[in-house]
Amino acid sequence: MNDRDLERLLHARRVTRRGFIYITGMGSAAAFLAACGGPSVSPTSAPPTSAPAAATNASAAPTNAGATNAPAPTTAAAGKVEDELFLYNWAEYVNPDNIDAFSKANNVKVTLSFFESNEDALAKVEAGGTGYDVLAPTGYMVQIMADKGLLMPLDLSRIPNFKYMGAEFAKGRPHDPDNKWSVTKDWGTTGIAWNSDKIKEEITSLDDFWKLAPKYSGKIAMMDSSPEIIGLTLKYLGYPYNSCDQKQLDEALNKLLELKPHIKAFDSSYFDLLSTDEVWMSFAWNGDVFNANSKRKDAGKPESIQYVIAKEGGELWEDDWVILKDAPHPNAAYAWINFILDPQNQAKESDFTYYASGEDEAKQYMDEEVTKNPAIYPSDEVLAKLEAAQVLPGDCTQYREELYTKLKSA
Amino acid sequence: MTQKKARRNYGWLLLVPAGIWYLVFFLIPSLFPLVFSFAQSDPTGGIFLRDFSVDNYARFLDCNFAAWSQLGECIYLKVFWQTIVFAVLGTLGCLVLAYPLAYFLATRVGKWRTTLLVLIIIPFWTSFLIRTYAWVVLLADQGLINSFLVDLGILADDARIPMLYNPFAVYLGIIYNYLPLMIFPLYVSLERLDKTLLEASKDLGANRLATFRNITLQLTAPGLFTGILLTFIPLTGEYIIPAILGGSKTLLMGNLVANQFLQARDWAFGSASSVMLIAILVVFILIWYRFSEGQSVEVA
Repeated sequence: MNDRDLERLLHARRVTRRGFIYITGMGSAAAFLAACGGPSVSPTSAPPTSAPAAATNASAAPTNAGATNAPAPTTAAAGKVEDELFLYNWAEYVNPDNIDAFSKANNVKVTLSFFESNEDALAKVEAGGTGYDVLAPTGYMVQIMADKGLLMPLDLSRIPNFKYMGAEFAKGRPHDPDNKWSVTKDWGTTGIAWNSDKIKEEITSLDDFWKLAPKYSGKIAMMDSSPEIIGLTLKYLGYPYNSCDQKQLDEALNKLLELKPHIKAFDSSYFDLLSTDEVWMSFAWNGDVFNANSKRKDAGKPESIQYVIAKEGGELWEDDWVILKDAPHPNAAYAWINFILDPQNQAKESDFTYYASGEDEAKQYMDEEVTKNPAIYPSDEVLAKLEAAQVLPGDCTQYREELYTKLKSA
Repeated sequence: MTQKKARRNYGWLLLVPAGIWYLVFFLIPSLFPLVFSFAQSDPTGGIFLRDFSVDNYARFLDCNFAAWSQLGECIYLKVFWQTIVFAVLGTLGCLVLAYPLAYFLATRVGKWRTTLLVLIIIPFWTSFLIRTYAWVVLLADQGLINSFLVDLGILADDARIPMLYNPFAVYLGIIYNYLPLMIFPLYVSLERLDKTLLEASKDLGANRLATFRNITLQLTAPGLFTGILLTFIPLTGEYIIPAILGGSKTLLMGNLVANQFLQARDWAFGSASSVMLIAILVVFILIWYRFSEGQSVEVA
C-alpha cells in the first residue's frame, strides 16, 4: 500500500482510535484462535488419551495400612541411599502402600511420573535430562532402550531379593536373557474379554470371536495397537505371533478386514467401553478386566466382564524395572528395586494391580482371589500356548505397519 | 531553499524479533524432517545420516493408478486423498454454517454483539481435547443423549441411535472445533464493509442477490479466503478427532505420520510423509494467493 492509498483510506473513512483498537482486537483474536484452535495435545501420545505426564508426590506420609511394614533390607549399597527417587511408570501401577513403606524405611522422597505408552516413554528418555531414576517399560521396549544405550547395566549383587525370582523370569527371557538390564515387575496376558451378561455364548477361542462378530456387530472393540491386533490374528490362523512371512501377514490382513465392519472402535481404553456396555466383546489385556468390573460395580452394573486366553494362544508380556543410565539417584534406585522384589511387597503389588508377579514365593502372601484367578494366574498348559512379542527387524516392522495402514484406510 | 533530507527507512527493524522467532523455532526445525526424509531409519527409532536417497518418497508415491481400488495399491496416496477430501468437506461445512452467523453478527446485531462474540470465543479457551471427549460422553450409545431419549420413552433401549464412532461424529467434531476459525475472519471483513455501499446498490436498482454477489462477496473476499485457509490447513493435519470420535477406524495423514514415528519407528518415512503433505499444501497456498490477489478492490 503506498502513500496515496493510505491517504485515500484515511479520508474515505476516519480511522478512530476506538476503531483501530477494535480491529486489532478482532484480528488478534482470530490469530489467537488460529494458533490455539488446533489440537493442543503433545503429538507423541499414541493412542491419544488425556492425562499428560503428571508428577504426583507420594512423600513419607504416615499410612494406617503400613502395619505390615515389610522390612526393606538396605542393599549392600555402593554408597549412601540418596534422599530422593523419581519413578516413571504407567498410571496406577504401583501400590501406594509400598511407596509409603519404602519412603519411610529409607527416608526417601518418592516422586511418580506417568507415561501413556512405551513409545512416549522412549521419546522422553531419549530426549534426555528427564531426571528419572527408575522406569517400568514393557519387555520389548527394554530391548530397544538397551540397544540405544539408555539403561544402566544391573549389578544383581546389589539386589539380594532377586533370589526369589521365578525360574522363567530369572534367566532366558527373550528380550534380556541374562537380566543385564532389567528385572521382571509383573507379567500379564492378552486375550479376549466379553460381557457375559449381554453375550450368552461361551467364548473360548478367537474362532468364537470371529464367528460371533456378525451377530454382535457394532458391539466389538480392540486396542489401537498393531502388534497385538496383528499378533492375535496370526495366532488365530495358526501362525507365530511374531511372523514376518508376508503371505501369512496378508492372510491376517484379510481376516481383519472381515472383522472391521463389525468393530465399533479401535481404542486402547476399550475397558471404558466394556464398562459402560458400549461394546460387549474385545481383545484385552488381562488386568483391564478387573478395572472394567470395578467400574461397573461403582455404577451399579453387574460385574460380568469375563476374560479368557484364546485356545489358539495369545501373548505373554511383562513389564520390567530398569534404571536409567543417567539416573541421578542410583543407590535409591537399587534400594527401591530390592524393596519391591521382596515377596511380601510383590504380593501387595499383585493385590493392587491384579497382575501376576514373577516370584512364586510371593503367592503365599497374596489374596486368594488373585492366586486362584485363571485370568491372572493361568494354568501351565494355557501358559504354554502364549508367545512373547519380540522386537522385529526393520523391514518386518515396516511391512506390519503397512498392513495396519491398509486396515485403517480400507 | 528546500532540500528534503533523505530518510532512511528503518521499518524493517520491526520485523527482526518475529523474524528471528520464525527462523529459530519454525524454519530451522522444519528442515529436520526434510533432511531426515532422505536418510535411513534406525530400526529402534532415530535416524542414520547416511545412504541418502529418495527411496522414502518413492515408497510414498508408489501407485498403480489403474488398480486404485485394489487392496494394497497406492496405500499412502489413498490416505493422502482421504485427508484432502476430509479437509475440503470439513471446510465447506464450516463455511456454510459460519457465513450466515458472521453476516448476522456483522450487520443485524446491535448491543448484543460483544456478548455474542465472547460466547463464541469462550469455549475455545477450554482444552481442545476435553471438548472432544465431551462429545464422546454426549454421543455414545450409552451416552447422555441416547439415555435421555430412552428414559423419556422415545427410544427403545436396544434401538439407540449410533451417533459416535462414525463419519457423523467426526464431521460434527471438526465443524464444532473449527467453526470459530472460519467465523472470525469472515466477521472482521463483513463488519468493515461500508454498509452505505449496500444502500447505494439498492438505490441503483439491484436486488438483494445481485447486491450480495457484486458488492458484499467481492469486497469481503479477503476474509473469505483467510477463513478458508485458516480452516483447511489445520484440518489436513487433524489427528485427534478421527481417533477419538471416529473410533480410530480411519487413517488421516496426521495419524499416519504419528504411527510411523511411534509404532513403526520409521523416522525417515514419517519425515517423508510429512514433507509431502507440507509441500503439497504450500503449492496449494501459493496458487490460492495468486488467485486471491485479483480480489482486492479499491474503495474510492
